[in-house]
Amino acid sequence: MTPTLEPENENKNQVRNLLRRLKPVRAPWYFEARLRQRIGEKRAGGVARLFSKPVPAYAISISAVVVLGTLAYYTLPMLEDRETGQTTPGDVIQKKTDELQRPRISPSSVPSNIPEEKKKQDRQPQQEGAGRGPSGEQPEAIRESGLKERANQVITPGQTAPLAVPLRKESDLRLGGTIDTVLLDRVDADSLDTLKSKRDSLTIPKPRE
Amino acid sequence: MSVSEKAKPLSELSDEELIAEFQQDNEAAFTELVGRYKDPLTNFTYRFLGDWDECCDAVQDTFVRVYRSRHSYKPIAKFSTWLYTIATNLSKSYLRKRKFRSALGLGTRYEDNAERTIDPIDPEPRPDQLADSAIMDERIQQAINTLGMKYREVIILRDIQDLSYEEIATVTGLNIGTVKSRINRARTQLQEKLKDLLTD
Repeated sequence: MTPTLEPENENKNQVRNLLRRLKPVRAPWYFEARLRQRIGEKRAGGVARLFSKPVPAYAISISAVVVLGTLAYYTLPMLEDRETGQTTPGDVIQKKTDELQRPRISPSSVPSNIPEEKKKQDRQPQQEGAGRGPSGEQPEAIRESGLKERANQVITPGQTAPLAVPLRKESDLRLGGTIDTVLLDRVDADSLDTLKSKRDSLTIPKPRE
Repeated sequence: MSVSEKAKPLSELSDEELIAEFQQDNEAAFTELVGRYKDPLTNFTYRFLGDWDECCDAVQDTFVRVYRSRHSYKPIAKFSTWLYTIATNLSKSYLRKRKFRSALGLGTRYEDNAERTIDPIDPEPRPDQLADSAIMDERIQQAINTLGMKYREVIILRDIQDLSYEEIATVTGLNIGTVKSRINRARTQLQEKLKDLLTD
């Protein structure tokens, strides 16, 4: 017996009525907001959009070349330098920095047998202003006095440490208020900026009175 | 589209006119379509899946697919049948995933529909409980959940969503005779499962 195509008996109509009486289920209140969010993600711009699609091979290649080139530019000279002993600009700067930091004297390393008057005398010109040495001399005088005199000078706290290198030009001395006693050797344009940035580290902190 | 039609508010346009507007990147038309169909689709997918979370995901997926595939809609079919076709296919995918998870033992919280018959937990609730429509809805939903997928989709589309046989045939890809036959069988099965409710 084949089933009737459109069942019309009473029980089946009751089933149909029962189903039609089912309380309709409604979408949640956040439905549209969530949908907008999901569609927004699909349409996202910038990086999200870039990664939502397959990245072209040429873009990957170009990016890889740029990254690898940058890495090679900075790392290979260093490797060569270690092997051959050649000096790179970075090493020159590092060397100068090391030289500048070498004469730093901590307050605790100052000899305690220095007379108090001598200390005050040495400290006085430094407090009076920039552009003068520890004893109040002009930069020209410092250059004339030469390396030996400066090397023998006693450094007290609050003073700026001189460097045991000869000057090349007068302008090297005029770096600023606290670097006037620094004697510079072959300061070129590149390393000068580095020295300027390091000048604060040359000043020995004053001890608390 | 004529000028006078363009001047009409979106709420007065037909579904087909709205999707045509949306195909011309008028997103307000899409919003209008969502407003029209979010509740019917939620009702359909909930009755089909029997799970609220999956239902919400399926309806969301349906509209996202409409959004992305709007240009694939051809005006030869009604928009509603196109939409129900997408929703039905996605719902079936959810059921298959559930079945797969159940087979793997990853998620056993669902009663798998398949071809198994699972009787409602309490076949004879008290009369005062029957009076409660919410409980009765739950009973009916449990009965629907026990139907096989092919019966479930046609009876929901016909008796809950009120689609015509022709529309159901378009949505399911079956011929009308098969649709009517399946509806008949589905009703017979439900009649058996819900006979205590039908005697009232």
